[in-house]
Amino acid sequence: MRILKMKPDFLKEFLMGLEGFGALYGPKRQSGILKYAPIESYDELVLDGENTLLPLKRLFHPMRFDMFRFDSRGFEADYSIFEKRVIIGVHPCEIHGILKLDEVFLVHPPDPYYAGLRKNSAIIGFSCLPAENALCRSTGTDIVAEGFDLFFVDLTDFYLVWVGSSFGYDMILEKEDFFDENVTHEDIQIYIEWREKRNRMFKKSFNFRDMPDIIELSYKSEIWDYFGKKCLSCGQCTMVCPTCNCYNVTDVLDLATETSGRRERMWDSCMFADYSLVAGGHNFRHARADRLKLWYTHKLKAFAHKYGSPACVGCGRCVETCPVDINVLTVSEALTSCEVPEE
Amino acid sequence: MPEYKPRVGIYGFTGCAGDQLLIIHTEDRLLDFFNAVEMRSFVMASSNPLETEIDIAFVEGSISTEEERQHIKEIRDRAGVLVAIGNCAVSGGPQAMFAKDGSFARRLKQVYGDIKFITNPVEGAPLDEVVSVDYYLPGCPISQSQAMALIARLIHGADPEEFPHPVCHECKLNENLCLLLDQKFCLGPLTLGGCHSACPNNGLPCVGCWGPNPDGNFEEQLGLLESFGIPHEDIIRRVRNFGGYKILAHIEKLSGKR
Repeated sequence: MRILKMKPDFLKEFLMGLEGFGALYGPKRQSGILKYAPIESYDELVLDGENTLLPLKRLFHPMRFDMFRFDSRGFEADYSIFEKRVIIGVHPCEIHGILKLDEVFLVHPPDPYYAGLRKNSAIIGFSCLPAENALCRSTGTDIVAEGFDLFFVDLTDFYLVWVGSSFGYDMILEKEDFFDENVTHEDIQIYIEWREKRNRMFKKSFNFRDMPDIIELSYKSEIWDYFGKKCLSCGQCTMVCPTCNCYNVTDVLDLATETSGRRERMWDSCMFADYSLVAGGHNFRHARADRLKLWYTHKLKAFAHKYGSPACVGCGRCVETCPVDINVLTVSEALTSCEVPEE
Repeated sequence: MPEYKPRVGIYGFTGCAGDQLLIIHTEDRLLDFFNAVEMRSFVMASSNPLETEIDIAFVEGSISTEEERQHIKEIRDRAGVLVAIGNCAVSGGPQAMFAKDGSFARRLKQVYGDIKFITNPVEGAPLDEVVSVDYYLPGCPISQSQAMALIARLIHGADPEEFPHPVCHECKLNENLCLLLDQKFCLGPLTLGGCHSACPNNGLPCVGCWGPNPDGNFEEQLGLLESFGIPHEDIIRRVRNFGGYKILAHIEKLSGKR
């Protein structure tokens, strides 16, 4: 992987010049809320450590869209959501989140909507300093080795720019003069000091590594009932989680004919009462405690069984979002302190 | 042989007529709707109803007089499928905010005094207090997309799909910051969604106008709102504003515990 240097003065011109590679997207404040949205001017871009309300998945796993129209002859997929995009300002945890979604959506057979959006999008990552609830040091997702086209590390006096793909290299070639290949020992030292400084800034952590075992041991724990009693079943935790990917599909029939209509796809949540409802009115997880247990077991244990590592990327959004404080921190703390014998 | 078209009647009882109006306002799809069915009765659209046997009755409004009680029973008798549309028909609406608290006779006298009624008023109630209801389409008013999706399913002989999710579902998809985090008096988690979170989109807390979400965690939400310093009585009053008969089970369960 090539690593280049760039002076901060060039950043604006370089990023805005990427328009030739696709429509620019990035974190942008709208009515006080930070969202991934189309960027019209450089000043709109928010490149600090703040989390967007909804994670990057919203650009790859659309919240609500029509998959296709159907009639008596068959169906025709609607790929009108595809668009060449360059997404700027993506933090390491977000990149890890998308890599997890890749595991789910790109395995055979791939989801054509996710795959198409992914193929048409370039990711320009940006380093960040830990926000109040950042847990990415605990989850090991504070650095990235893949999943980006370019990655900018902000070292104040200069950027170190990791080139992660040939497409990223094409972008560099557009403005070759902005970049310096000569990374000195001194630069490396500055980078290492930045890493150390950043590592000291994390205010919160949790026992991520031990959670798979602890969750397995806690299957019958009354801790789940405690959280189940509190949970409002609002589903916000799943919406803001970068790796939650469940959706529901609904066939919306046309009024005019009984054989035609459209299939709509919309984010769903395992926190909702009808999520585990099956034919005959049976519901496997009617109790809130069972819904929560499913989520945390899947997130912190079961995902790892299937894909190699747990699905939490430590963004801290569940900590910021849940109105009744049910999140990876409180759940892992409760399970660790109450279910495992005290020392 | 000409294609069979389901016979449909759309009726309004006590309410603002907003749900019927919304159906008429669905202009781009109204012709498709009217072509796909045999519209027997829809007084808001045509003053020449044909009151015969029908396959589907869509009924708006709560039952608030003795005459309405008889009328809804009569519709039920000749309708194959009966759908309650809008919060008044589903839960009772704002006119049922004091439902079953024993104050009806006093309130009636206070408002109307000693007058002779054309038909005897009864305490406003949802349709299912009087007749059996096959499907519920909540809303205040109902949403065009949900209404048309339900109507299309029913006229083509398919089961409608429910949307038993709280307002919070669409609220989060609309990228709103949770108002409960700001300690606002928001009823989103207790309220059925489908409104596209119209109020929170504009920074206003949900007042519960689509009626209770049966899955709502009533007890915990009450405790949370009380922890914001909102008096218990104010919360009960607010949930009853639109909760009608359907919120009573939640309240009874709670008072059993306290």
